[in-house]
Amino acid sequence: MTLTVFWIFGVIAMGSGLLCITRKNPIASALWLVVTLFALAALFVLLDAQFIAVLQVLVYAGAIMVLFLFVIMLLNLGRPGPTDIKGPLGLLGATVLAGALLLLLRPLGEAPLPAGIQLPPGTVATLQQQRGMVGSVATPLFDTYLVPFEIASVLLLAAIVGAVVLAKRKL
Amino acid sequence: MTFFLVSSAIKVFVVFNLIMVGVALLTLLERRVCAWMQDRLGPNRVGPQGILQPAADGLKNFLKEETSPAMADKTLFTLAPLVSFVPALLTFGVIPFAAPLPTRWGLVPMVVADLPVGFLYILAISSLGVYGIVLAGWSSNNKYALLGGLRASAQMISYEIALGMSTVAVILLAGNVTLSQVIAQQQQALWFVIPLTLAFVIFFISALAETNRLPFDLPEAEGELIAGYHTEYSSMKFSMFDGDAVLWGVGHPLYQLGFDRRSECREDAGHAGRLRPQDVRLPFHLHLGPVDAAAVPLRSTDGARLEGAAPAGPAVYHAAGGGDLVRPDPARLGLWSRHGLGSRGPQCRAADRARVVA
Repeated sequence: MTLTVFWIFGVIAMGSGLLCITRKNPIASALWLVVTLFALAALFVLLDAQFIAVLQVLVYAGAIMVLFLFVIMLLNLGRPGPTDIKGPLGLLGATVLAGALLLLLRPLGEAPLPAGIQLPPGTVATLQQQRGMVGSVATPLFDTYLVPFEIASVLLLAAIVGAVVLAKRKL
Repeated sequence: MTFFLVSSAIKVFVVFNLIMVGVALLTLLERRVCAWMQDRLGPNRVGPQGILQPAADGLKNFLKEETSPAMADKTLFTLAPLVSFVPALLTFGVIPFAAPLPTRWGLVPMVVADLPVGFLYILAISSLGVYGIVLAGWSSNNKYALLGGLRASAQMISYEIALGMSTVAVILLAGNVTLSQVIAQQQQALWFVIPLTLAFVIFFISALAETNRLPFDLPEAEGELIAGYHTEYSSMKFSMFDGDAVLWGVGHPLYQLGFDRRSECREDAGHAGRLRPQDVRLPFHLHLGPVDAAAVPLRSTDGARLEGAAPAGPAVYHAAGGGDLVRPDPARLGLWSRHGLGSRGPQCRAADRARVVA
């Protein structure tokens, strides 16, 4: 059952991801990306990570992709124009590069997981029972990984300040 | 397993139908109260007190021709109403509507799916409604529709932040994101709307903005954008956004109900949780009404907006412009709304009387 669902959503994610990068129309591309994000959220649910799944939909599909669409519409990029792909030579280059990437990724897929990140079966469920769905994400974030978390927040803050400064010359 | 499937199917059926009928009746209520506040009669001809008006409008919209602009993006044009309609319905799936019902086969929770992250699920799903509006505006290949879509997306993105932030207070107080437990919290103590009055006011205002209801109806401002993002829509596709039918509410009043139900979870849900199983039908009756009714006065304050104007639009344009003015130019429309509808008190009373006499 779980495996069937995994395959269904895996195929949807891969297919829509492919369609996302091959469509010439930017709006269609963005929408296929939304479908990909949804399929990924479903895969997260399969991993018992409902909280992450909901955040994926809320943040990426609900906020970021809407902004993407907004910008595409505002700049009126919607109508399909000439493509950047340069004939058979470009296609050949892309194929070679994709093959090289696959070759590089292959050993990574065969390597065993380090013991540090392996979880005994049933741990996730117990953890969620103890700390709740949100707590099992929040507690490590504010406990073990506090410093990286704060660094990421400062980085985001800097990005926000930078965006405001760039967009508004006169404050 | 079989029992789970059967009970879920029954729950889905009941919830869906209650919402649809509730939306239809609330639409009628809205139109009647609006009319009453503007000293008109409102729809009162179909059935006793116009109770069948939504059904008549729905039938009318079903029978209308489906049109589609020549240069529109056909796929997205068809998809857009669905994209705005489905998320609004999906949010109801996690809202508990009564205490668990004991049956011969065990305790049945009175919620379609009691997700552990129900609160966030509502936020996530309702943030998807904006796609429908944006895509409708873009795919119509009409500059007014595009402008409406742009305005709508800008407005909805902006107010979504305020909306999310105003619900964070509830999560903090409840210490939980499971809706059934948020309700249980309020059962034990007092309704969150009392300590969180300010947050609730912010929530209400941003919910109005998210649903493009009246003080925030710039995305479909008739005076300047014809009808905004759904200018090119007709028939049931139109109803899915805004119509005046059984599914009148399908687009935004339903969407608004989605929000109402969420606010209900903070203000009245304690009440719903306390209901005995035999009172299952009460919560809908109790909670769908008041908050929607609160939005009605806001709507009727704008004299320039004919309530239920959307499908009546062409007819009104016709009457106001004389001749076959189905798509009036915006300048003329602006003039018309300033001089015609702006002072619409006595005229429209007279029009209503004339209709009654006829």
